[in-house]
Amino acid sequence: MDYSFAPGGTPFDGLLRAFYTRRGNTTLIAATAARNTLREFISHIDGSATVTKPIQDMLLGTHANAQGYLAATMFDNQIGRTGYEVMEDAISGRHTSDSTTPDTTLTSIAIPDTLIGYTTGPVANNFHIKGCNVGRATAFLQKMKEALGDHVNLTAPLHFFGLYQHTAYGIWEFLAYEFKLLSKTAFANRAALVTAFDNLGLTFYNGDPVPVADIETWVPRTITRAATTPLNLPLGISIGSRTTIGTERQFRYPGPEDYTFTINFPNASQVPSTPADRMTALENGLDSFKYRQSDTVGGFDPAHPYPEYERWGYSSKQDFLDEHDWRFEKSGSRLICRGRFHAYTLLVPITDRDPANLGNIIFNFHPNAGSPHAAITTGLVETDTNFFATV
Amino acid sequence: METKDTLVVMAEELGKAMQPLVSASSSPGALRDFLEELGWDLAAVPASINALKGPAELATRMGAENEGVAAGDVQQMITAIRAAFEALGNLSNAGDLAAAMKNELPGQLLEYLLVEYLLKNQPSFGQLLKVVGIIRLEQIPAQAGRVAYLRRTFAFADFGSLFSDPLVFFKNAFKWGQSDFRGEEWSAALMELIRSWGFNADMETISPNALAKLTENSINPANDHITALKTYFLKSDNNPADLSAGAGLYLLPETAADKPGFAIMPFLNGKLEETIVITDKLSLAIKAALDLSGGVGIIVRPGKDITAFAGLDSGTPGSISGTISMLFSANGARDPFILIGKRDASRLEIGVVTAEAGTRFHNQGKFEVFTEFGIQQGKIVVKADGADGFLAQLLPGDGINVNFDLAVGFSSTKGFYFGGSGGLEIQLPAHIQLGPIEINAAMIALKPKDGELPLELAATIKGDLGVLKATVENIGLKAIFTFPQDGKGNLGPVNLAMGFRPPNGVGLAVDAGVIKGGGYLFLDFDKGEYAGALELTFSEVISLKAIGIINTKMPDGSAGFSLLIIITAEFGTGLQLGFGFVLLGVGGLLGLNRTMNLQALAEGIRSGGINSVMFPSNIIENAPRIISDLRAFFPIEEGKFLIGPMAKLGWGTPALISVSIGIIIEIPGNIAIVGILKIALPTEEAALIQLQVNFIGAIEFDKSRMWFFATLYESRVLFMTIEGGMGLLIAWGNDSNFVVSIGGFHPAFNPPPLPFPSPDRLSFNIVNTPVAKIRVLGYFAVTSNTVQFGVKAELMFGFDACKIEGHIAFDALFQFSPFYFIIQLSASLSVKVFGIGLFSVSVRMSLEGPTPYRAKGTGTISILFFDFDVDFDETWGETRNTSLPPIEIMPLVREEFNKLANWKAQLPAGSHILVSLRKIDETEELVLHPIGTLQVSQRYVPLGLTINKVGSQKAADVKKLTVSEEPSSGLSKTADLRESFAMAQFQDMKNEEKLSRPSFQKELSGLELSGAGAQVRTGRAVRRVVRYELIIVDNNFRRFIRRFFSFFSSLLFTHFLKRNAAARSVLSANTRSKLNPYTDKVVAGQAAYAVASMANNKAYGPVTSFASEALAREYMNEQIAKDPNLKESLQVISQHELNPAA
Repeated sequence: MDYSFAPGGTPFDGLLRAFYTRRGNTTLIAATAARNTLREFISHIDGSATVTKPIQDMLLGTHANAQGYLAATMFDNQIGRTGYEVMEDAISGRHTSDSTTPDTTLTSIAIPDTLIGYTTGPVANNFHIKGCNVGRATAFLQKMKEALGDHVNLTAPLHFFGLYQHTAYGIWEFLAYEFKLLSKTAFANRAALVTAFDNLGLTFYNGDPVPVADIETWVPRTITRAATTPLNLPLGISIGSRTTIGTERQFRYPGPEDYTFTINFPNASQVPSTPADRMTALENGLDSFKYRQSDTVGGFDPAHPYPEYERWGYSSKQDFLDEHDWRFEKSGSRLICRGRFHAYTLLVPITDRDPANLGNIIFNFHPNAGSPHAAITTGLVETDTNFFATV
Repeated sequence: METKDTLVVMAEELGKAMQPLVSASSSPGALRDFLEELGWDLAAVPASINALKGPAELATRMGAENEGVAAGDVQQMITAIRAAFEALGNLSNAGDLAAAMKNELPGQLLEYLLVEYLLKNQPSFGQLLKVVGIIRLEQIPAQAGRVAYLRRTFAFADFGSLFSDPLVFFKNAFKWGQSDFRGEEWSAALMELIRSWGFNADMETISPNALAKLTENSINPANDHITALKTYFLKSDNNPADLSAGAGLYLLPETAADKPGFAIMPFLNGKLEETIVITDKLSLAIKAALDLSGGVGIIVRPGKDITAFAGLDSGTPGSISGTISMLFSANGARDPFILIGKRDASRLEIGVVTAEAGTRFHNQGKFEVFTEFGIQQGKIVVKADGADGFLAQLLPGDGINVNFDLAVGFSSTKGFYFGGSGGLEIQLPAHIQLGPIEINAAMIALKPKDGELPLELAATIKGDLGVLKATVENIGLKAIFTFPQDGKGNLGPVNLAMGFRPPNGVGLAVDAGVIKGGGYLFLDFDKGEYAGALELTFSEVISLKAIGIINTKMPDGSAGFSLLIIITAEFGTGLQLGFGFVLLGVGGLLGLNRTMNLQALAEGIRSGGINSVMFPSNIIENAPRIISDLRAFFPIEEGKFLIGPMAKLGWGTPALISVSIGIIIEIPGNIAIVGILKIALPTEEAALIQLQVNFIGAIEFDKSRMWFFATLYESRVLFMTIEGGMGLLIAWGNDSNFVVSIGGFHPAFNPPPLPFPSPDRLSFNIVNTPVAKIRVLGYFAVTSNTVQFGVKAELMFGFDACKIEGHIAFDALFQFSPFYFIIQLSASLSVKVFGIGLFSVSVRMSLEGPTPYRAKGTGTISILFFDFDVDFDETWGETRNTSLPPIEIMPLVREEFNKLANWKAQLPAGSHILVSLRKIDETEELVLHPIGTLQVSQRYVPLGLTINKVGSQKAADVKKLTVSEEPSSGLSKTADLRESFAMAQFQDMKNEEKLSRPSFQKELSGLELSGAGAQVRTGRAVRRVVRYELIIVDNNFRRFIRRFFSFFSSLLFTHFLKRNAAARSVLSANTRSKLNPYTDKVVAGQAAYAVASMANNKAYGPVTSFASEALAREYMNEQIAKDPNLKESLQVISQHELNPAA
């Protein structure tokens, strides 16, 4: 039996819970006020008399992103959003109630070996994250695996994770490409944007390059705001009367965004006033930035296992600096540095590249309880490295 | 970036809205599945639905997201879009669809496309509509013939109630106020909305302490939410604890006492400047009088006051008070946001957009949650470029620019409102010149009423055509939006009715040399009132003025008609009449269904409002005031008719003295004379003596009285202003009375109810400057009891720092028989420096006499804070007994009873004796009808009361007189008779009693007698309808005769018939009274008095009602005589003031 947990409060989290209740051989553990973190979930199934041990796999459904952040909370009083540092905290026992006295009994998310029946040798159990794009944050996944005790295979999607629910049928599981372009300035026109996307060298899941004609189709005429195109994609088979599901293709552009970096000075008079001095202060600030004060390596240091610039999709600190349009503002004794950037994203449902099934959506289907339709779980398998990362 | 033509943009967006249909049409299977999304499970797609594919594809192809529409193809695109929507509409007539599908599918498809377009392509607007509940997504379960599906709707039906119940959408969409409040749906929509505005929004767990407080007393803890929607307006990516600002929203669970609600949790970490720049155009100002650290929660529950707590995160929350608001300002001052149109062409642009939300204290000490959207530096630009020749001629060279500011808000206490306006109405000053026409202002008003949304667009237009100038106020269009329940209006779910908005007023001015003048019409269609004023001058010789009011609704709102019109003609220098008199003007007043409010007219005499009636001047300028005065003076009353000739006479050339006089006759009713006397010497332009006396006199037959009232108005002699008034009242009948007053009354005197205002003191302002004032005031009054006289002189010299003030005054009460006076004197003189009294001397005394003279008083000298008082009481002179010798009353009373004039034989009540009586010549004998009554009444002395004196002579022989019937006379008393007596003539009264008690009182004066034994009675009167069969033998009979004027003539005839001579003749009255034997009238009874305790106004003694005040007082005096302790505890009061017994 697999055990799943989806503690979030958004409609998508609701869909995740609906998905888990329909997924075969899966028990959904409900989140409550007393059980809303991963740690509490693990403790619950470990201590529950109704859970037959050893269990098979565990699943966590949550919002996530390619920067290595999860919306779900790992343990009570964790410092900030779930990311690489929280995984370090889980391992080290660091928590907000007493940051100088680590206590892993409060933070550990390690899965007991007895729960999964691990003794020695290769790992047979899996921990599946169902969250968008987090499979691309390899360093984060590795740290999370470590935090989970290192005795599970951790998998996560490499793409957007989508769910489509039809009341009469059940839930379809599918994925979508996230083709993202970061720019320091807004693109002047559509043609320039298409060219920029083309220059990224985008590929499909099987390595085929994305032709510019497809990019032309996906990029809308108006590039200054988001656009959604409804799609009815063929399943390739019939499930009941249905041969398609309704999905959509999205162009996302939230407008100019800022990376806000704040630097505190002893007093207001020491806040630099010239653009050059302010830029210098910013560089120095980036150099001295640490995720945790006890860290020995700075967040923008290339020696950091998962530097900040990498999380945001840049190759180096300099690249990070150069690819933002920096503006400065003094607020008391604080210098607020805002790095303006523009992120253009194409969200395209993943369809079959096999010429025999070209254009059919790749999916899993989980029928409603009592439905006459059979489940289909061969479309998206967590071991498929085209779609999922495994650490 | 190139800005597109608005029409092109609109066409492209409409094409985009069709995209779901196009995508669904990509394959037969896709279209079938699409219909299943809408709840229709079909094996195959009907041809009529397949036919949508072509038009939908054409519409979207032209505006395809990647290609764009050229300006020249717009017409084609519009045609294609129209064809697509028509194809949708044609589904309702499709032969291959089931009836249920035909009825529902077109509307359902339209809503689906619109909702999806707004949510996916215009999320800022679409998600907003979803948050407020206008766009709704509902899961519909499977039912007969339908599969389960998600329905997308616009809640048009709720629009009608939007302004009367602003939360109607929220309540209906999310079940606000109910146990199953759909908070998760709402907060999800809110999250999408916030994201669409470019802010981060996510669900985050909240602190355990905050969770414990917010879920206190939850009835279902297992279902409590553990996350809150959090949005960050500002956040440091490297150090959120150092700098972050935003707000959270937590869904509160139901408790035993409260339905589910929500908590708003603003947060602010780190110190921030007042205004934070978010982008180069967007800034945020957080105004908080609350400490936001430690967790603040603003609790909102249905039907409850909003409350706030602080310290949510610390575990020790407590109530707080204060305000917080977050104001977003998008500033495009340098580069305005263009909403419609293009730069340098006709466009609608806005400079600054603000959005503010927060909580503040309502003026009753409660929180209110509000949100307000504002536009500043808005501009509407209309350019002549590209306009045709005619328009280019009309429009000014640089086009038309209209600037505006606008704010719309919603508050939990006020509902919807427009900022800067009293309601949902905006006035936009325009001043747009289009040739001879000028548009002064534009008005947009939204006045929701009874489920309708009438939108009014109007303009105030001025036209200048040389000799003629016209103004039309607020003429325009009215568009009424209604939302029929069945959703079948002429615009789909909305029904629109257009109509003409009539103007509020129309003005006209003429200046054609010989003829000058103008007029104004005031129109109020809702009230049914139309008023107008006209003033024309012909060659400065004749000035014609008219003012009128027509009402088509009675004051109670019922249909009716009333008219009031005043027409005057004034003749320049006048028409010579001889002996120096000139006729300056004539005029008249006519009122139909109008009455005369004499009290208002009397007040108008004093205030100068009477000038609106008597030859009003500057009619056009003063039209609103004149019309308002006329409404007050001559209110509507059905059945009354007014006619009032007026004339204006003068003496001298030019007229030094003029009098305007009018006689207003009310039919039926009273007669009034009003007038204005003006004296200006030596000339009107440089008058040394200027007097204006406004006067009114009236004879009120129904109240049996006549009166006269006059007041000085704007009068002066040289530099001395003169003010004052006089009044005269003579009343006969039941409430007889006599009052004359010049300058008012004695200060202690309580005058009886007067039909005119109490006259102002006669005053002369001899000097009236900031540094010196000398004024003299005086009065003189005579009533039935008293004579009053008083003078006061005041002076002041100096200025604020140092001044001398003084006065001398006396008030006197005189009695002539016997001669007696009492005078109260006071005088003072004081010196003040900076408001503090430095030195003052004052004297107060009373002097009475003449036999003996007595002076009693107090003199006071004050120096700074020390007072020295000197009292004196001196008596001198002979003490003469000036009283007359006592008089024997009994013989005089007996003589009164012997007078035949005091005896009357009355016919029986009803007078339906059915017998004609022979006329009897007047004899000395009294003839009594067998069933009539005999009345005897005398006015010499009141009966049944203690009499101390008669006039100024004491009563020698009797104290109290009573009269009763002789038992053997065969007559018995049927009623007491009463007459008015001045009680001061018969009882001893102190001066203050004379002033305060009624002048005349109805006291017993005689008896009414009738035959002893049972009176003759008749049976009850009944009505019988008697009809006669009528046969007409007429060879020339014509069934229908068209009488053109019969309608009008019969209407007017019937109206005038009511009060004409025939109707008022005795014969007609007699016939009417026979048919209606009972006069059903409401009659006010006589006032009664009672003796009551001063402590609690409860009646004292067994008798609780006395017919007169004197009787009650006599009873009280008898009780006091028996028990002197009662003296300070009893009083005489009107019976209605009695405290009912417990």
